[in-house]
Amino acid sequence: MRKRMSPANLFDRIFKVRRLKTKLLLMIIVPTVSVLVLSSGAIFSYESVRAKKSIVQDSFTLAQITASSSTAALAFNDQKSLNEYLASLGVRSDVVAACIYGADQKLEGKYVRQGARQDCPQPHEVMEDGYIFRHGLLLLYQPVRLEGQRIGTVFIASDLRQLHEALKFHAELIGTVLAIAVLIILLASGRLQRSVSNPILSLTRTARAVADNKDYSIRASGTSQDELGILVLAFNTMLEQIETQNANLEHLLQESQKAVQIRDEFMSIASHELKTPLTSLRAQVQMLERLAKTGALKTTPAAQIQRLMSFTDQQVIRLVTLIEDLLDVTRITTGRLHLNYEQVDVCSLVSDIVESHKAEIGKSGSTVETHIEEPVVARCDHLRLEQVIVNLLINALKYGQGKPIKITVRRTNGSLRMVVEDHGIGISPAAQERIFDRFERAVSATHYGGLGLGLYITRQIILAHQGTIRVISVEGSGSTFIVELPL
Amino acid sequence: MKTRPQCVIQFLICLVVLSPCGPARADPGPREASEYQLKAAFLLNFGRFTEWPPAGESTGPINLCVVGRDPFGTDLDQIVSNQSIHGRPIKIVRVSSGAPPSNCQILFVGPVDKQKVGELLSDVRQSPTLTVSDIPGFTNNGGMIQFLVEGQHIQFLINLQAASQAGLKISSKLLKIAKLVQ
Repeated sequence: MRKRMSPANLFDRIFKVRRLKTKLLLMIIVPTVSVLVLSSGAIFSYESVRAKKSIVQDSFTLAQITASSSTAALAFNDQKSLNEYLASLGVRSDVVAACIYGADQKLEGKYVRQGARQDCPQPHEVMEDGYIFRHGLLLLYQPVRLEGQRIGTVFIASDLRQLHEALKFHAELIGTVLAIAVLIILLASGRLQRSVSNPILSLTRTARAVADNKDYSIRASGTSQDELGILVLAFNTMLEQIETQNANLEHLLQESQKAVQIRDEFMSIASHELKTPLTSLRAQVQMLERLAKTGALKTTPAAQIQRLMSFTDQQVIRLVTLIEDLLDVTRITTGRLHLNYEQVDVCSLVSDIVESHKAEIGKSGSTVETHIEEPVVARCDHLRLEQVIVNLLINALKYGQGKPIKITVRRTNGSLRMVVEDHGIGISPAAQERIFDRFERAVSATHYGGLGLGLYITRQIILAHQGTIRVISVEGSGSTFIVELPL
Repeated sequence: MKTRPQCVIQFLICLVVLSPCGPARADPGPREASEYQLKAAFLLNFGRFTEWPPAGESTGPINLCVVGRDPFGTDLDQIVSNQSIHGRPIKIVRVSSGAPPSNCQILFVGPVDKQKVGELLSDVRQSPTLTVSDIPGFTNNGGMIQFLVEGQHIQFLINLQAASQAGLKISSKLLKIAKLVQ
């Protein structure tokens, strides 16, 4: 036995159709067409009942008039007049037969339209007063009364063709209207359906493409102003955010990879830089130990021991400087670089530094020329500013190729300007952008020693003083570092 | 089924009134009415299609007077008994030939000589009396309705002017089926 499908099951089955478009179309069409069909049916039923009532009422009126007018003729047994009355009903195209019976149900008057399929009923066929629809005809019986007594019966048979034609016309009209309405609904529903389904389908396609290809640059299309438009916009914004975040993550990853690489390089350089003075120190210490063991220490001239100790001291200072730089970097990155502000005469500071670095200057082969127009006093941290000037001077000596170095200090527009200019190897434009970064250097560590922290620390100190530092350089022609500090 | 007359008299009236046969019919069956039975029924129906002017005693009986020789015998009494005209009972008054008829709503003039007809009509001229007779030339002499037997059918003539002068209104339905209206 096949299980009968209930309407609810059928409904579920229809709505299990996968396609959203089909569902939307059904959602629009099924209720509207149902309402249309039901209302059309109701209108047709109402019209049918109304038309039948109307024709019955009409026929009753006709029968009553006939009964009233034929009273005398019936009372006086005037069959000729009765026939004339009834024949006059022939002007009504729907009347196919009209008959009058006496009190004994004997036929007294008769009119039957030519070719009519209804004749006057035989006396025994005469029915009760009232009406009946039979074989496409309305058969109606109406009593004839005189002085309260029944003296006969009027019978009228009306053709319902007109009624049927009217109802047919109504049905056709309703059918046409229904067809047009359904057509409009189909057209409109297609459009309505698309306005809802297209953004959703676009979203679905985009979501699937994003999920399949991991491509977050795809965007869903849709420009409507409704909730769906907002949804599409929100979805696109979400994709945009994911894309940006991905790009940021990618950037961060690259940055961190680069940082790790730089750190590894730095570790390597730092190890080397720290190892070099330590190796020298060890050699000095071993020499002293050897002299002590052999008892030659007492015989060694004091000048040689002093030179030995001085060399040892230089290595220790070099180590201390390296460690100081590392500590400075730690201070800067952890925000613990504290400045002790005081009034500093920058001009005498520069002169003192040049004076104290005579040995290094002499070793480099360069000459240092200072241009100081007037004494300039700035409010800054004395030791840190000294660190800045030393760094710049050491850099100029290091990369100056023994060519003249010029240091200029002057006051401009309420600020201190200090320019350190060399004519050495210069810095490439690409390197100019990163020389102030941590662990960066413009040149190979193999040829030029150092941790690559000098300019980083210099810049951080200047920034801490709300100052600026920049470099102007042509590769092969030298570099000019310009420091500006507020007074 | 439609209602049949409840009593014998009603059945007889219907039979008499509606029977197509006339007095000249060759072989009248036992159920067929005689000429004067039909005329009695006609007399009753004339009253039913006539309106009298409103008078003080409008709820009293309709006096159906018969003057001259009575041709109906007991038929008239039987036919009008228990019947009404405009809801009023009918009373048959047979007027002796000497006395002038008075207070008659319907007056049937039986066979009398021509001079007597004139007298009778002038007696009732001032009162609303429907005058009926089967005397030839009755309507020409101022009578209102005159029976006429043609073949098997009983017909009638109406003198509408006489009726109007007496203040009577005869229904157009009756006028329509009259043989002649003067």
